[in-house]
Amino acid sequence: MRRPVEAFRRAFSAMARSPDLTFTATGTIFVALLSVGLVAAALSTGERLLHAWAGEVRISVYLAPGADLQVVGAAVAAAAPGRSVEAVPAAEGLRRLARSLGDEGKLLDGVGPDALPDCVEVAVPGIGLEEARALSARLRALAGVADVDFGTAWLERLETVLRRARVAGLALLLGLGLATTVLVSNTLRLAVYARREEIEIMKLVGATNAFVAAPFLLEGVLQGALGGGLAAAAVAAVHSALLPRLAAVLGPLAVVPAVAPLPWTLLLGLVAGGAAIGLLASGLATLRFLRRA
Amino acid sequence: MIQLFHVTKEYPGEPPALSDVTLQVDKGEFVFLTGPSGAGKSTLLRLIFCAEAPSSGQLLLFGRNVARVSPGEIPWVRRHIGVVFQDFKLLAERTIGENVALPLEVRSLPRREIRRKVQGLLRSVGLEHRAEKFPPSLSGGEQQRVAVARALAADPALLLADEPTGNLDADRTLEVMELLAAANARGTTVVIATHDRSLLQRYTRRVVALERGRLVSDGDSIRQLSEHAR
Repeated sequence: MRRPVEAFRRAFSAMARSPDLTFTATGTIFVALLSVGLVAAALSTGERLLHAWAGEVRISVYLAPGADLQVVGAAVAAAAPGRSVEAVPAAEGLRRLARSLGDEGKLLDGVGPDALPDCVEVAVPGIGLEEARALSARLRALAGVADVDFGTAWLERLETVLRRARVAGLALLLGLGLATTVLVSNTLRLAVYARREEIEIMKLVGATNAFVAAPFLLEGVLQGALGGGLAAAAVAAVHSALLPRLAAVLGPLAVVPAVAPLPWTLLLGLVAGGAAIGLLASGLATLRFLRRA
Repeated sequence: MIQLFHVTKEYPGEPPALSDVTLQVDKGEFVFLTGPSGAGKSTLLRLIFCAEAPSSGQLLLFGRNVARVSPGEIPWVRRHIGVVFQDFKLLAERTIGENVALPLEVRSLPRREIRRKVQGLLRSVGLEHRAEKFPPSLSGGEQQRVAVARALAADPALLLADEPTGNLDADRTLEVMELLAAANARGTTVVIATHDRSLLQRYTRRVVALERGRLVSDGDSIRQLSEHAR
C-alpha cells in the first residue's frame, strides 16, 4: 500500500516542481480530446435524432387492385406481431391526406376515392431503421400487397451520411489519438529529460526501473485524465450552448432524446481516453529513456 | 567482497582504461586506490558499482560474477553499495534532507524511519541545522559531507568514494575521513580513490596504486608506494 501512495506523492511533487511541463502536456491532451469530443458529440446527437425520428415511423402497406382489405389486414397483423395495425380504406385515406394538407386540402376536392389504393397502417413506435427495413420487406412479400412505404427515404439518406461521418469520426479519432500520443510523448520526454540527473542518481542509489518509472506513468495518467476531464467539460458546455439553437432550427422535429444531455459514457470516455493517452505517452517516453540510462 | 581477475576495460579508439588488473578486497578492509589522473581509479570504481562492465576478465562482487548479474538485478546489487561521487551528484532542487533520504526512499522505508535516520546522519556530519537548505546554498565541503551522509544512509556493506576530499581544506578533509573511518569501524568495507598523497601519509592503510590502467603496487602503506616510485 505504501509504494503506490509514495509513487503518487512523488508524481504530485514532480508535477508541482514543473508546472510548465504539466500545463503543456495537459493542454495538448485537452486540445486533441476537445476536437475528438466535439466530433463524437455531433455524431452522438445525430444518431439519437435518427433513432428518435425512426421511432416515429408508420409503415403504410398499399394493396394491389382487387385485394381484400380485411384479408390483407389480418396477414399484416400476423406478420407484425405486437404492432398496432389499422385497415384504412381508400376513402378514409383520402380524407386523412386532405386533413394533413390543411388549407391546401381543397386541392383534393375533385379527386375521387379511387385515386388512392386501400391501405393498412402499421404503427411501429421505437423501431430502428434496420428493423423497419426488415419488417417492410416481410410485408412487401405478402399476397395482395402492391407496395410498402415507411416514408423514410430522407432518414435513409441521413443514416448514410451518419454512417460515413461515423467512419470519418473514427479515422479522426485514431489520427488525433496517435498524434496526441506522439505529441504528449515528446512533451513528457522533455519532462523525463529535465529530470535525467535525478533518474541517474536514483538508479545509482539502487532504484529499480519500476521505482523510477512509476511516478512518470502516474503523471501521464493524471495529466491525461485532467486534460480529458477539461475536454469533457468543454464539450458538454458547447453541447448545451448549441442545443437551443439546434432545437430552434429543427422545430417540431427536435424530439425529446435529441435535447437530452450528452451520454455519460461519451464524457467518461474522454476522461478515460485522456488517461490512456497519458499513460501510453509517458510509458513510451520513460521506457525509451530508461533503456538508454 | 571484491575480486578482480585480469580485468581489462577498453573504450573504442583509446588506450585501455584498465589493463589486466587482478585485485582482491576483503570484507571490512579500508583501501586507498591511488594514482595520477587518468590512471583508471574512477573506471575501477564504475566497474565495481556496475555502471559499466569489464571488456574482459572477471569481477566478483559479494561472491557473484558481475557478468552474470542481469540488468534487472543491478539495483539490488547497488543497494549494498554506497558511493561518494567526485562531483557529489546532489539534486539541486531537493533539500539536503531529501537528498540524504534518497537511498532510503528507494528501499521504500517508512517515512517516519527515513526522517529519523536522516536526522541522525545529518547530525553525524554536523549538518542537522541545514536539513531544509538546498545544495547550491552549501559550501563545497558541506556538499561533500551531504554526499557522504547519503552514501552511508542505507548502512551499505561497501562504500566507494571517488576523491572524497578533493574539494576540502585540511580540517574538512579530516572530518570526512573520520566519517569514513567510523563507517569502516562499524564493518563497512571502504574503497577510496584519491590522488592526494598527504591523505595516504596521514592514514596508514592498504594502498593500491594504478598507473595508465595497470596495477603497479599493492601494499599496506604509502612507504611501499614510495619504494615503487623510486
